[in-house]
Amino acid sequence: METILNVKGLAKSFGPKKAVDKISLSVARGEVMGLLGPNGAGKTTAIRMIMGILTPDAGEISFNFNGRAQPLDKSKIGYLPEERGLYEDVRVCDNLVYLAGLKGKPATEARQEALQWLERLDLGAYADQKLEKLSKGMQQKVQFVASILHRPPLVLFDEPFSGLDPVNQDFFKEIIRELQAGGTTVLLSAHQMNLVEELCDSIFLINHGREVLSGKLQEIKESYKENIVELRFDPAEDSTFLKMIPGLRILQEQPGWAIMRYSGSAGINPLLRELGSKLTVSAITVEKPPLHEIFIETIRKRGEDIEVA
Amino acid sequence: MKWLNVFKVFRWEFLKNLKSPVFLVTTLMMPLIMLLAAGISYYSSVSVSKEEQQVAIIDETGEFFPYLESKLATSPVKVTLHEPAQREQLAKQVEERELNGYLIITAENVQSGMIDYFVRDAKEMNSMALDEAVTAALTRYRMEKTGLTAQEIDLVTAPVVLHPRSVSGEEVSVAAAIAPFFFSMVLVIAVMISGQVLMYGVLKEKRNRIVEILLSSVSALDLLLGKILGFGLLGLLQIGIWMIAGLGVASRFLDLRQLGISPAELFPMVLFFVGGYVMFAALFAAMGATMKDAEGGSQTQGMVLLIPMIPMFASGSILLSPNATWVRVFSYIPIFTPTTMLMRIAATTLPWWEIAATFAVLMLGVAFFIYLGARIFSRGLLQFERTISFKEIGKMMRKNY
Repeated sequence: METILNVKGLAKSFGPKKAVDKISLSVARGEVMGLLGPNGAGKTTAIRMIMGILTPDAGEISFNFNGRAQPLDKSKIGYLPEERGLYEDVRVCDNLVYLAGLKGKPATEARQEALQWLERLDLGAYADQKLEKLSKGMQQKVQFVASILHRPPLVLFDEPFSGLDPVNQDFFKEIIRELQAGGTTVLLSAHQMNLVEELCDSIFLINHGREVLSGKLQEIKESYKENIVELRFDPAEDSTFLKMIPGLRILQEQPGWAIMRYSGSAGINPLLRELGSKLTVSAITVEKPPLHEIFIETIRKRGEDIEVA
Repeated sequence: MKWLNVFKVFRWEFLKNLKSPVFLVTTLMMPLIMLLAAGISYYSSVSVSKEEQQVAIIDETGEFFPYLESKLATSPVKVTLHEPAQREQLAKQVEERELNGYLIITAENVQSGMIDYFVRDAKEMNSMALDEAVTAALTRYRMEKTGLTAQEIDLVTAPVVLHPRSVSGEEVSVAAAIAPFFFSMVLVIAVMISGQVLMYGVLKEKRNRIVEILLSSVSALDLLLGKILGFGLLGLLQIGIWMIAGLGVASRFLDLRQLGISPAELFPMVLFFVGGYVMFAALFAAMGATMKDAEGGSQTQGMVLLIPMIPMFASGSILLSPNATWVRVFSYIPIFTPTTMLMRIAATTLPWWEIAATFAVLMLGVAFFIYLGARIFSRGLLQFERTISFKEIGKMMRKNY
């Protein structure tokens, strides 16, 4: 698949601290990639370097917007920084038109589209109000619009969900899905992995500035051996045999219900067969553990610690 | 660097701040405050010199009083002659503020010239007019005592005025000496006001976090240049308004032709003015980028802002001896160049090469400070949570961020 962003051996130190330590990643056109890791892992530094706000100590960053590799063109990228704000003493619409103008969008076009966005967000009545009149939640929506109003082929969202109320979280997810459907490539960072897991096609897990895991989300999950199995069966039946199954660990148990972890080298099928033969199963779900757990487990296996800044 | 981006930032900053209340208030208030200050000092100087004073004289020589009385004939200081026996009564009158004070003239102090003036409170006396009159009267009295004739005395006491002229014969007018000071004052005030507005503007963008969004579209240098130019035009507009208002008021009292600034002088002055403005603006913007909040600006940062003012503290000496060695040295230190040269150009006629050389130095300074400013600017802007120390600024200079 064609990549729109290629990063090779990117590194950046602040004094003795290696904020980003030789990471390489590529983002395919039209996908949503999650750059995930705890606070202080180096996500923001990496994104700022991609956006050309910080200069890397080492490494290469190249873009491919129209079939050939090219250096950074800021007008083709939308950016929502983690620390964000707009001109509070300026009217909402003027804020949007100015920022889109800096990205090269003509003022009349920007104004028209900004008004459409504001209408859609139920902020139409505030278009000519100063930004400071808006509530925090409303301002967050305006900031989001500011990052995509110029219709960039690539957007970088740094912690887009931090500080959002649940209503706005859902709203932003909806927009990100919409962008993806429209062919926009999205690179987003988050420390709350459960929030973005459902959005991402691929992920890049980072800790202490170094890569932990990366690839298609589906593949990572499938290659992870453990499964979480939730089982419902006839409460009258004896389930003590469960404890004997190799690779199976019971997390919680009640008569007729159990939640377990299973990791078998031959996959889940042998377990299903055994359960089916010994119990009258009324319901069963098999799930891969959440990304957050995979992340922590992978780091633990490597003997590293997780920094929480 | 993209000039289109610089232009967009410039236009935004100019229009946004033109409409801001701060600009309106400083633009309108400044002339009002200056007018008020000028009015107060003019009124007080007039009223003090016209205030009537009653002074009693005890003249033991019996001869001196008429000399003094004739000297004070047209003065607001009124003298009356009294007997030595009345001294206690006079002292009482001084205490009760019926008299401003009294003098005792004896044969002895006429000789020594040490005359006591008794007043209620030695600190509040305003005795300049009296002092002059007593000195003049005493000089005349002594001369007549030595036997000089009236003509001889007039000859000796005829006033001497040292009248400076350049070798080519040009006169030096008082107005022409004030103008350079006025121009450099205007530069410093304009730089201080628009520089501080710029600095707090940068700080505000840093505080409300918009700066990172801006940097995702334009480079730090584009942003810095756009801001400097935007605030520069704003500053020039403000000065223009002040000048027109100031000249309008001044033309009622003065003959403006006496200001003695020719277009040939005005052109280099404008160059130094603009160059100086850009240099200081870059410095101020960079300072704003290193600060966390308005209160957090450290002492050292405050000191940096005073640097442009240093030549102003020495303005008297620079205007009086514009070609002294130390003044020349000052002219070649970029951060002092604009203020010093503005004063020198107006105070004296400089050879063209000196103007050209100092201007070249200034341009180097402008380039250096924009470069330095852009570096501090781009690094400081993203340090949201703290004020950056000078040590760190030094580190920033050496390392690529």
